Amino acid sequence: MGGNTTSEDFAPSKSSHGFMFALDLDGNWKWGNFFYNVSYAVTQISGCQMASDGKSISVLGLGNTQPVLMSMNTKDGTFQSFISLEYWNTTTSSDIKFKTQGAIYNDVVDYYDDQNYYYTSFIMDDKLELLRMRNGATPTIDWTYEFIDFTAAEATDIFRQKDPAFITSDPRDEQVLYLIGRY
Amino acid sequence: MRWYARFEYLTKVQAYSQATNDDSLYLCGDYQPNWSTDSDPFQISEYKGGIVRMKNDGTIKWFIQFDGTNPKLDVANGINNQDRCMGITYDSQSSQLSVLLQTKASQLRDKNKGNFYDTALMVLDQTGNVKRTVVITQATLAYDMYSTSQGLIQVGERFYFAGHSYGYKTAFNEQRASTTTPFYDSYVYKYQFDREGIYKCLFEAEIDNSVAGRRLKMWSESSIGQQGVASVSTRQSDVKVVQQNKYFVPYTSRYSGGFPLLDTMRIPRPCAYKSMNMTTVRYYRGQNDLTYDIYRENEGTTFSLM
Repeated sequence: MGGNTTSEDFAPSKSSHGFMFALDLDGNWKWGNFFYNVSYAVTQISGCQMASDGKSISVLGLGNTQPVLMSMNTKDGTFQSFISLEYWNTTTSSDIKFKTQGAIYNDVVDYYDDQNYYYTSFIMDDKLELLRMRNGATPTIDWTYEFIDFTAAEATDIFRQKDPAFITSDPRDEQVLYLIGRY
Repeated sequence: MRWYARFEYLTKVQAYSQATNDDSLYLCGDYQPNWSTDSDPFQISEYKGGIVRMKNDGTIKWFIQFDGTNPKLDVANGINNQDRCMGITYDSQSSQLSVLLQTKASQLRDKNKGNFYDTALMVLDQTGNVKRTVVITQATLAYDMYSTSQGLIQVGERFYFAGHSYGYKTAFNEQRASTTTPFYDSYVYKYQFDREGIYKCLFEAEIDNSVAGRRLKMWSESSIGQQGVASVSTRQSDVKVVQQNKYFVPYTSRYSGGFPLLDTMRIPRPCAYKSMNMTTVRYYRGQNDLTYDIYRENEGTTFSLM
């Protein structure tokens, strides 16, 4: 279970910290963590889903106001990878607002090329972004699609009408992914 | 894009579940009839739950709307009907789906309940007929039980549902919130039907199928399009997207890490039926990292209870 907390007896301070914990099926505590990247807290955990091979859990959140994609060992919550995403044209004066939800999926072995890919979707300012990233020591973006607004109202109302809630694969058709949410 | 489905009576999708032995995809969420005039953060908005069964080719087999009446309904003063669907699972073995409902429906709750959410777990068959419904509450505590998005999983006959609340009350234990600075605790509960006499921890009431069924309104595949409940398109132009090259830069973070949460679970647990202090030394608890030297410091009062 993941989310965010402002409890200073759960995370280290009252500022927002993302957290994640694991229980066994009898309700016993297995592990529970909050997260930091250098000195920046991961402020929110917004989604998680088991990787396609069931051996790790993929987690989406925000760290230093940017989307972060984490892969964790399910046994102890330790990291396998921690990847930050940054808009290419970010400057020191940029005020880009990201919002993540639960849209993360790690396809460990791709149907076509056997590569390890992350699929994720999130909001950047007023737009919904959907991308595929090759996972590894040097991650690279494979493709990005940006959803265009139909109306001016949609464009200015960023947190109400777009929710990339989930990405999941079709268990009976490896060529298909579903993007589920609000648009 | 293969297809795009748009649901007029589903403002937000809160959960999904997939069948592994057929081509069904199940969604659930909620509908805000007045979303365009509602105010952020939508705490008092009217909500109706929505449950969808569709196929992987985009065909919508049925749509179910769930709603009830807020016992304190007073629209003029911002007290609305609020019923939401927050979790859904599909069990391939029994071909049944289960939904986690966050509800204020007086038709399902005790007559003394007020304007706060309780939790309902409803089991349906693939045609949308109600098989079982149980409402789980915190008895006399008037704390909202806010369910988590994608907040229901099923393992065999056991259901696990998650959420957050100001406190809790079970048959065995109670945690009340501070009246001045209340804060939320997250929770995970386990539930299994037909365990009366063994499992009397949660305050629960099973609801007659006909009573629960009257809270559901179903549209079949043939009526969904006719009545404008939902539409499906395979036209790429219905979802306008542009491909962006070199738009985001990913990088690994070498100096990142996870650190153990401080205080963790509340002790005793909500369904602990008995607890005892086994030593004169305080327990280790979260950040209170205290000595627990049972041989040196206890006073011979410990024994086992298994």
